[in-house]
Amino acid sequence: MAMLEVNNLTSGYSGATKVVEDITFRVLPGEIVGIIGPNGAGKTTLFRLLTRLLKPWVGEVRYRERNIQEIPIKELAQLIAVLPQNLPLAFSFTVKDFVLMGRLPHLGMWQNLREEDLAIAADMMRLTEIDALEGRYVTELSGGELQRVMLAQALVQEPELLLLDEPTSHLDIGHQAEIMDLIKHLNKEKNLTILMVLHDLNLAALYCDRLILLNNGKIHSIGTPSEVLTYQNIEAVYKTVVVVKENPITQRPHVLLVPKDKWRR
Amino acid sequence: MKLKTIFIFLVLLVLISAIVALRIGSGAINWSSFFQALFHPPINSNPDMTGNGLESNLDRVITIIWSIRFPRILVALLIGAGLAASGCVLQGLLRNPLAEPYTLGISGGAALGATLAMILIPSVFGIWSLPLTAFLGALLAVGLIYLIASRQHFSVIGLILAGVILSFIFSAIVLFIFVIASPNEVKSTLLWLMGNLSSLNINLLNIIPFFIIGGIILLWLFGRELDAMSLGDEKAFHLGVNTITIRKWLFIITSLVVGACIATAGMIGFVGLIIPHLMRLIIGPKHRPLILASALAGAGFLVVCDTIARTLLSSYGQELPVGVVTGIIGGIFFLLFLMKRKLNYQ
Repeated sequence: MAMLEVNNLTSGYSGATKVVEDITFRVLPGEIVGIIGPNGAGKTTLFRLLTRLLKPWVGEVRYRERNIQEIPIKELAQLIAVLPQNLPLAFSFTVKDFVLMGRLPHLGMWQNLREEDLAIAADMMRLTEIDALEGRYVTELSGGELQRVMLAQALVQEPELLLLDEPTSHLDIGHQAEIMDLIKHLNKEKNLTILMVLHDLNLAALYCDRLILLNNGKIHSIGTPSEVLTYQNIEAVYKTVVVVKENPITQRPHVLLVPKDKWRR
Repeated sequence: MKLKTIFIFLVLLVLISAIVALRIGSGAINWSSFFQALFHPPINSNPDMTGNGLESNLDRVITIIWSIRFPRILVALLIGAGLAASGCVLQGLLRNPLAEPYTLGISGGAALGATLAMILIPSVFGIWSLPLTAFLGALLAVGLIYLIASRQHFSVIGLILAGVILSFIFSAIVLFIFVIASPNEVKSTLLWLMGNLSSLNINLLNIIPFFIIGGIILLWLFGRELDAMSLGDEKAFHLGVNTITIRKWLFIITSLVVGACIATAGMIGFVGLIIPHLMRLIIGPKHRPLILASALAGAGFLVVCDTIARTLLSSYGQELPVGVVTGIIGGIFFLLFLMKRKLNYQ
C-alpha cells in the first residue's frame, strides 16, 4: 500500500496560471524520494500542495488512502512532519524548548508536558547529536546546528512521513553530507519515509531511492537515480550540457557540468 | 528551578505591594491597629453596633482598609494583570514589541465609546452607560481591525497598520466631540481618559473579575500555540496549529479583557507595553510562563502606581489619575531601557 498517493494534481496561485499540472506519483513506506528540477519547474508549489499549504484545483493528495485535506490538522501533524527551508526566528527559545514544541500535536490544551514527552525529546536530541546544545539559544546556532535542531523538532512529532524542502540549501559540503547521512540514518533506524525537494542532483543521486524530475510543472521522468539522471534528461530539462558518470564507490550516477566553451557535440 | 524562584519572587512582590498599599494613604493609621485590622476582615462585623472608643477606632481602621482601600487595590491588581497579560499576548501574536491595546486601537475605540457616553448620550443606561459604551467601543475597534486584517490574511503589518489608522480616526472623533462639548464635561471626560481608579463603580466589581481572570486563564491556555506561531504561520500549521482560528480567538479574548479594564478605569497606558517586555527578558519567550509572570508583575506595578497616584497630592486634597503615573514612570523607564539596549527580540 502506498503511503502517499498523488493523483492528477493540478494547481497554482491566484488567477489562472497553472504552476503544476497533472502530477501523479506514489511514495511507498520506507522510501527516500527526491523531487528535483530547475528553478521555476514547480518544486516549491508541489511541496506546498503536499504539505497542505495550497489547495489543489484538480486531483488530490492521499495519505494512507485518506485525502489530506480531510485530515484534521492536529492529526496530520502527528503523521507528517514538515521541515521548511527557512524559519523566522523572532524569539530566542532554547534548543530544548524549541525541540519540545514538536510535541504540540500530541498535547491536549489542559495537558502539561509529560515524562514521556521529555524522554522522546531527549532521545531525538541524542539521535541528531544536539544534546550538548540543549541550553543554547536557537538564534545563536550555526546553519548546520540549526538544521539538526529543526530535524529533531520534526522527529519529536513522531511522524511516519517527513517532508523536507531543500534541507541542505545553506550548508557547506561537509554539513551537507552530515545532514543527508542523518536523514538516511533516520530512514533506516526509525523506518521513516522521506520525501524531499533537492537542488543538488548529485546529493539526490547519492541518497534517494527514487527521483521525480519536474519540468514546466509536469513530471518529466520518474524512477531510480540511474533511470532519471541521464544526460538526455538533464540536458533537455536544464538546457545545458553535462556528462553523467558512475560514482565508482556508490555505483550511483554522478553529473558533471561542462562549461559552454568546452561544448563539443 | 530558576523559573520557580522568579514566580515566588513575583507573588511576594504582589503581596507586599498590596499590603503596603493598604497601609498608606490619607487618614493616619498606626502599625498596631493596621495589623489588627488586617486580620479582621469585616465578614460579619457591624461597625455601627460598637460601644467604646478603642473598638470604634479599630472599626474606623477596618472600614478604611477593607471597605475603601481593599476594593480599589483589588481592582488595580486585576486591571494591571489584565492589561499586562493582554499586551504580552498581542506582542507574541503580532511578533511586534510595540503591540499593545493602544497600538491596535482597542483603547482608542473604548475611549471614543466612553466619550460619547459622557458627553452626547448621557445616562441612558444609568451607571452602566459608561462601561457599556467603552466596552462596545473596544469591540467595535476589534471588529474593524479584524475586518481589515482578514482582507490581508492577518499579516502582521496589516494588523498594526489597521490599528494605528483606527487610533488616529478615533482620537480625531474624540477631539471633534470635545470641540462641540461644554468645558465641564470635557474636563471630567479627560480625567477618565487619563486612567482613573478613584471613582470606582462598585457594580462593575461583580463582573470585572470574571472577565479578567477568565480571560487570563484562556490566554494562558493558548500559550503553546503562541509559541508555535512565533515560528511563522506555516511552521505553526505544520505543528498542528490552526493559526487563523487561534488568532481570531486570541484577538477576541484580549479585546474582552482590555474592554473590561478600560470600562473600569479608563485608559491606562504603558502597563501592557513595558511589563511584558521586561518579563520577556527575565523569563524568556515561552508564552505560558510569560503570560502568568506578566499578569503578576502588571498587578504589582499598577498597585504601586495607584498608591502613588492617590497619595502624592493628598496634602493638597487632590488625586492624580493613575494613567498619568504609569505614563511618567513607564515612559521614563522605557526610554532609559531603549537607550541601554536595542529594542529587538533577541
